[in-house]
Parts: sequence; structure tokens; C-alpha cells
Amino acid sequence: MPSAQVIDVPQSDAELARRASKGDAAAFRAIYDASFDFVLRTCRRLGLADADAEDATQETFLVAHRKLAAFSEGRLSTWLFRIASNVVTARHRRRRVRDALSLQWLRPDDREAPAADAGVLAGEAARRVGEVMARLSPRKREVFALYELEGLSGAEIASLVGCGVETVWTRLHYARRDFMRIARERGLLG
Amino acid sequence: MSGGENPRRLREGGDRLAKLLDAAAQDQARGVPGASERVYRGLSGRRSLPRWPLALAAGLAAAAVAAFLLRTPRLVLRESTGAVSGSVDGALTTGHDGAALLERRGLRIALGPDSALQASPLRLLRGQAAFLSTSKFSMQAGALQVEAVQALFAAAVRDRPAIHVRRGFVRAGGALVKEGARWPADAPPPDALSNALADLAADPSRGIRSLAQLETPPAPRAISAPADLLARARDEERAGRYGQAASLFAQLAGGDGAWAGNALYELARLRLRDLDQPAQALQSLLEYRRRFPSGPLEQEVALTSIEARLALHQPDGALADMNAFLDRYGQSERAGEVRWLRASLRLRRGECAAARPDVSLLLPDPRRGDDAAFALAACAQDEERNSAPLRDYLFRFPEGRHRPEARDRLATEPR
Repeated sequence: MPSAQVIDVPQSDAELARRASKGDAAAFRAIYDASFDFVLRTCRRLGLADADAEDATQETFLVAHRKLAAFSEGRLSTWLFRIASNVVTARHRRRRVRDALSLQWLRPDDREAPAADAGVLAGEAARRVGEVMARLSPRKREVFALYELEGLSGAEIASLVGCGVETVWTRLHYARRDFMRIARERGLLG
Repeated sequence: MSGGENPRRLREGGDRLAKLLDAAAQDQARGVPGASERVYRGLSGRRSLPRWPLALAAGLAAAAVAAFLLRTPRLVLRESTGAVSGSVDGALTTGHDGAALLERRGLRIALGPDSALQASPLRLLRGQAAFLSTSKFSMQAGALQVEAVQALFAAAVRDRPAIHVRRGFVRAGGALVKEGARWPADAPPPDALSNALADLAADPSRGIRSLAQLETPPAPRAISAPADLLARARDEERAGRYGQAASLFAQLAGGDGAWAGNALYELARLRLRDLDQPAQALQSLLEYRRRFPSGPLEQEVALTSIEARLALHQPDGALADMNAFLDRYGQSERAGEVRWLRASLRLRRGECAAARPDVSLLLPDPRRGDDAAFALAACAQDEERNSAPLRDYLFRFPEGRHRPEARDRLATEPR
């Protein structure tokens, strides 16, 4: 089971952020290098496909760069996670509308035939799981991704999303219920 | 579950779901070669200096303007396209290709083409205008006295004045005109302003976009070897280089003739579906409609326009486009889909009553009967606390797409 990746920044997060916000390119690059994998993986865990995840990662750092001056305490990973999650949610919202419409315009025989086995290819599995994740509410999506896919503990998730552990379990319960329902509707569970 | 225990993860279940999640998790954890540098390069191109000084300046300016407007409820020109003059006989006038968005405290006005509006007292002298008011105000449309409170309506002054109320109530010359009604009853709809009305309702700041179609166009120029240009654009698109393809289509769209019409549509399609640029896509579609009002792609353009407005989160604009589509192409093979879409949009907004006519029409449709039956059943439960149609749905559609949700609804219905 993969474990949480802690961003290992040699100086305090607040100090790096302060320097980066004042235009220190090396400080920003240090934050970027230390956090890139975490942010990209977060975007993918939350249901974005590769190209989209890269775009969302870029957008996350862009937002972070603009708001670095506002970061004063806590962990950068928590702060970046919140930004990434918001960016991903906005992308899912846009894509949901577009996909729904695309389906509306396609004639039945134009539509993609379902694959015979949903679990054969990892890439295909990620795409299908991503489609289900896209339909979860943002808070449920976060908890589901961090627990079921990233493999974090309840306490780690609570720290990352900023809530109590009991709240994590409550959200996970409903996230699982919704995930199963959507996956069942899409024929992913047989 | 206590706070200290971690429940068993779904990936540990050994079933089909576990395998799916495990495969997905492994795929998501793999590295993407070159991604870090690629993203950083893109970031370097887009990053800018901290913006707070600009934001502060903009905020102060906005506050100053707001304070000024609060003291002085006069009409302010917000944006304009095409030829606009502010002082023809003391009125703001728009030319044949002009349009303007105006505002004053509690009121926004989208002034159509060939129109004249006197600011004080507020009077539409000729042409058409859409009004969105958040407070009580009165005006004249020609000689007709109009009063409104929190209403969205269009006024037209042609050979005689007319009012079309989209939202709220308006008193026109002593008669109360209700939502959705026109005065006089046989007045034609305000054609050039239907989208402006919808946009004003959805987001006042977007009102000008619908009017942008009235901009004076650059004169089409001859394009040499348009077939070659088209072939290159298609090659770029096939190779996934959508930006380059869009650029070539845009060149072609600047020309004249059928090439330009097709290119405008292709450009809109690319911007919407591949470049995630719905606003620009909508502009291309509006340009197509302006330049080719009876073009062969009009129906496709209308459908894509609906899609673009939904992507822009302009549900009212999308509804206006759907209404227009169904009015014009009610017999089209796509009409059922648009009807379903319109119903879905209304259902999502909780407007069961408004959606019911469309949904009922779709009941016999073999492709939509399942969806329609479930939608009606869900409405009955939500609005009438009547769950019998849901049970009927489960009985009639043993393979129905909405069975899980129908069962959830029945399982959680209040006793």
C-alpha cells in the first residue's frame, strides 16, 4: 500500500513561501520540485486523466504562486492539496457538462462500446475510476481518493483536508456508497 | 467506527471492485516522464508578479465608482460594440451594427441595434432594449408608460410599443403583464434580444456577449488556396495539434464564401471540445449566424451553441437557445435530444412543472422512455409525495437505467 508522501523541504514551509512570494525564483523552484509529484498525483487520484492532470497541476502552482503571500503557517502540502482539489473540482464540473452534451449529440451507434473487462488494463481502470470520481461531490471525492487510492490513514487525511477523523469516516461511508452506486450504474461491478 | 481504527480498504476485498481500484491506484502512482519540466516551462510562461497592488488599485477604483453611482443614479455606458453615439438629440443611439450595455443603480439595459434611448427621463425612443431591474423603476417605451419592480423584460418601439416579460411583473400602460406574457398579446417577440435577455438573467456582466453578434465585421478578404489551408488544418487536428488547427481555421474563417462558414463552425467545435474555450467558441458561432443566417450548418451551429452556453454555465442562455432550436427545428431528428436536454436542465433546477410537457412527449420514445418515466416518477415523489409512480417504474422497466436511484429513493422516502 503506498504511503503518504511528505513534502521534504529543507527550510520551513513558511520561510520558503515568504521568500517565493517576494520574487525569489530559487525558493519557488524549491517548493515546486519538492511538491510537484505530490500535486500531480493528487490531481490524478482525484480523477483526472494524464493530460488534464498536468494542466491542473500547472494551474495549482499558478494559483499557489499568486497566493503565496497569504501562506503563513501550517504545511505546504495541506495548502497545496486544498488548491489542487478546488482546481480539479472546477475541471470536473466543466467536463461533466461537456461530456453529458457530447453524449447527447452522438447517435447511439457512434457511442463507444463498453470494454469487455473493466479491470484488464491499469490505464483503462484509472480512466473508469476517474469517471466515477468525477461524479462524487468534492469532499467525498477527496476522502475516497486519499483513503482508497492513496492509502493514507484516517488521521493523515484529517490533517490534510482539515477536519476531524470522525468526519473522515462519515465522508468515507457516504463516498463509498455513492461510488458503488455510480460504478454499478456504469456496469463496472458486473 | 472509532477515530483510531482504519476500516478495511475496498482494495483489500479481492473482488472485481478491489481489482479495479488497485489497478487504477497503481496507474495513478506511476511517474510521468518529463512532466515536471513540461509543467514548469508552461508555468514560467504564465506566472506573473504578485498582483495585490493591482488588485488593491482596482478595488479602490471600483469602490470610488460604486460610491459615485450610489450618490448619482445616472445611466452609465458599460460597454458598446459597433457605432454608438451618446449625443444624438440627447439620446444614446446605436447604429445598424451597434449595441450597448448600460447600467445605473439597480438597472441594466442591453440596447439593441438601430435603437435610441433617452437617459433622463428614461425613454426608449426607437428600436429594442432589454431591461433587468433589481429595484422599482419607471420608463417609457415610445408613448407607453412602463413600471417594473425586480423584473426582466424587453421593450420594442417599432410602429407601436410592445413589452415582453421574461421574469417578474411589469405594468404597461395600466395593464399588468405577467411572466412569460407579451403586451399587446400579438406583439412579435424581441428577436434580436432573446439571448441578451437570457444573459442578463444569468449574469448581467455577460449581456454584451449576445449582442456581440451585432458588431461590425471586418470585411472578408480573399484567401488564396483555401482548399490547401483546409487540408492543413485537418492534418493538424488529426495530429492533435488543436491550437495550430484552430489558427488555420481562423484564417480560413476570415475569408469569404462557403469556406468561411465551414471554417467558422470547425473553429467553434475545436475551441469548445478540444481547446476548452467555450466563450471563444460561442463567439465563432455567433459570427456564423450573423454572416450565414441561413447557412447549411445552421442546425449544427444551433446545437453547438447550446453546448457552449452550458459549458459557460449560462443555463438561461442555453434554455433560450433550446427554445429557439425547438421552435425552428421541432421536426428535426435531434429535436428529441434537445427536448430531453431542456427537460433535464429544468429538472435539475427543480422545475418539475416546466419540465413535465417535454418529459411527457418523450415517454413513447424508445430511447428516452426509461429516462422520461423515471423523471416523472421522481417529480411525483418530490412534489406530490406520491411514490406509486416510482414503484410503477420499477415494475415497467426491469432493466431500467435508473433502478438503483429509484430503489434508493423508495428506501429513503419519509414515512
